Amino acid sequence: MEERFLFTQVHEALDIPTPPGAYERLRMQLTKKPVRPFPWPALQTRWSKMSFRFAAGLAIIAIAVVAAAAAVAIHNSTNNSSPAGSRMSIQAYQKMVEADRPNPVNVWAACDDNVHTGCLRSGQGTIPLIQKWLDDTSRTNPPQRFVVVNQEMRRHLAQVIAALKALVADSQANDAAGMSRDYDIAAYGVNWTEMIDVAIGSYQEVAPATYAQSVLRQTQALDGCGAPCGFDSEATNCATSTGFNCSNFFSQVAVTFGGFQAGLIENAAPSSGIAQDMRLQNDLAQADGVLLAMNLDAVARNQARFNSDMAQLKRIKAQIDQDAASITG
Amino acid sequence: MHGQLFSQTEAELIQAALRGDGSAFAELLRPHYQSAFRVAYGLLHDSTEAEDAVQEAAFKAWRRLGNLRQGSSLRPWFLAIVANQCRGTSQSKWWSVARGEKLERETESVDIAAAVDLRRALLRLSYDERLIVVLRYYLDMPFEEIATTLGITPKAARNRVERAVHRLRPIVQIQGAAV
Repeated sequence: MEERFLFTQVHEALDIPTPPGAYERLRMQLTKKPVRPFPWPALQTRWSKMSFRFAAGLAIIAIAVVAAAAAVAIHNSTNNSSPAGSRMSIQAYQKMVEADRPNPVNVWAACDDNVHTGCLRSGQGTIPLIQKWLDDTSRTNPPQRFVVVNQEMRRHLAQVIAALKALVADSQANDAAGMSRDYDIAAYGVNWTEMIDVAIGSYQEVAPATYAQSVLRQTQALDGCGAPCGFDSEATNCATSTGFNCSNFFSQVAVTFGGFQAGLIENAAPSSGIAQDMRLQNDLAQADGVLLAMNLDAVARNQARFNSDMAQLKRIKAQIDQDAASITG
Repeated sequence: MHGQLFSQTEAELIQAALRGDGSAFAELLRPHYQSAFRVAYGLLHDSTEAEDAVQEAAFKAWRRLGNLRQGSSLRPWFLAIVANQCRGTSQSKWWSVARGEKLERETESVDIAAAVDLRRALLRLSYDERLIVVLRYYLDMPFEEIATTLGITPKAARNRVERAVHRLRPIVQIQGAAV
C-alpha cells in the first residue's frame, strides 16, 4: 500500500480547516489566565532497584485485591438479580444503559493522565454511579440479543469499581505508582464499555448479506491483528518489557476483540441467524473474560500467567474463526 | 505589540513565558498551532473537542515549560503534550456528551460500505496506533520527528507505523476495492 495511497486516504478522511479564530481564542485565554511555570511535574520520583522490587511486590498484592473485590462485587450483584421470565424490550434496555451513564460531567477526566491530581475526587464521585449501573445490569432480565453482552458489562463494571476503590486508597496514600496501575486497570473497562455502549445505542438488525459481510470484516481485522499486534507469547514479554511491549499488545488485541463484539451488535444478525450469532457472541465473551485476566497480568508484569492466558486466548480465537466461517460461508 | 514579539527570538520568548508572560507563550505556540489542532482532531474526530484539548494542553505545556531542554525543538515536545491531553479526553468520553455525535454518524447510514470508512477504522485502532497514523500520514512527519515526539528510536517509530498500517490494511483494501 501504499505509503502514497495512505497519505491521500488519511488526508481525505480527516482534512478540515482549523476553526476560524481558534488560535486567537487560545491567545486570549493564555493572556487572561497567566500561570507560573513550575520546574518539575508533581509526584515524579526516582526509584532505586530495591524500591522498584518492593513496589512490584506491592503491585501484585494490590492487583490480587482488585481481582478479589471485583469477584465479590459481581457476587453481591448476582444475589440481587431478579428471576427470569419478563425480558426487557430492546428499547427499554437501550434507555437503561443511556440513563445509567452519569450526567455529562467529566468525572473521569478529573483524574489527570499525568499526575492524577484529581483522582481522589474523581474516584469517590464515580464509584456510586458505576455501582448503580452494575446493580441495574444485575437486576435486569435483558433482551435475548443483549444477554451475553450484559453479562460481560457486569464483569467490566465490577472490575472498574474495584480498580477505582484501589485508586482512591492509593491516592490517599499518595502512591503514584499504585494510582497509575489502578488507572490502567480501570481504563480497559472504561474503553470497552464506551465501545459497547455506542453499539447498543446503534443496535440494528440487518439483512443476512450485510451481517455476513460485517462478520467477515471483523474476522479480517482480528486476523490482521495477529503477529503484528504481538499475538505470540514468545515475542510478547510483560516481565522485562523487551520484545513486544505487553501493554501495547493488550490494548491492540483487546480493542480488536471488543470491536468484533460491538460490530455484532451494530449490524445485528437477522432472526434466522440468531443461533449462530449467539455462538459467536459466546466465543467473544470467553475471549473477553481471558483478556480481563490478561489486563491484570500485564499490569502486574506476570509473564507466566500472561503466557498461559495467551494460550487459552488462541484456543478461543480458533473457535471464533470456526463459528465465523459458518456464517460467512 | 505583535511586531515587537515577532522580533524576539525563541529563547527570549521562552524566558518571558517562564516569567509568566502569556502573550510570549502564545507567540511561541503560533507556528505549531495548526499541527497541534491536526493531532487533536485526528485523535478525537471532533473539532470542538480538538480545540479544547489544544487549549488545555497549552496551559499544561506552559506550566511545564521549565522541563523543555535547552536546544530541543518546541514542536515535538508540545505535540506530545497535546497527544497526552487527547488520551485523557478520549478516556473521559465514557461520560461525555460528545458521544451523541458518534451515534448520529452510526445511525444515519445502514450502508455497509459507509461502515468501513477510514475514519471509523481509525477509531477502532488503539489510541497509540491512531496517534502514530496521525503523525505519519496526517502531519506527514518523518520517522525521526515521530521518534522525538514519542520518545522512542526512529527504528521503533518505523515498526509502530508498520504495525498500525497492518491493522488498517483489511479495511483500506475493502474500501479501495469498493471505489
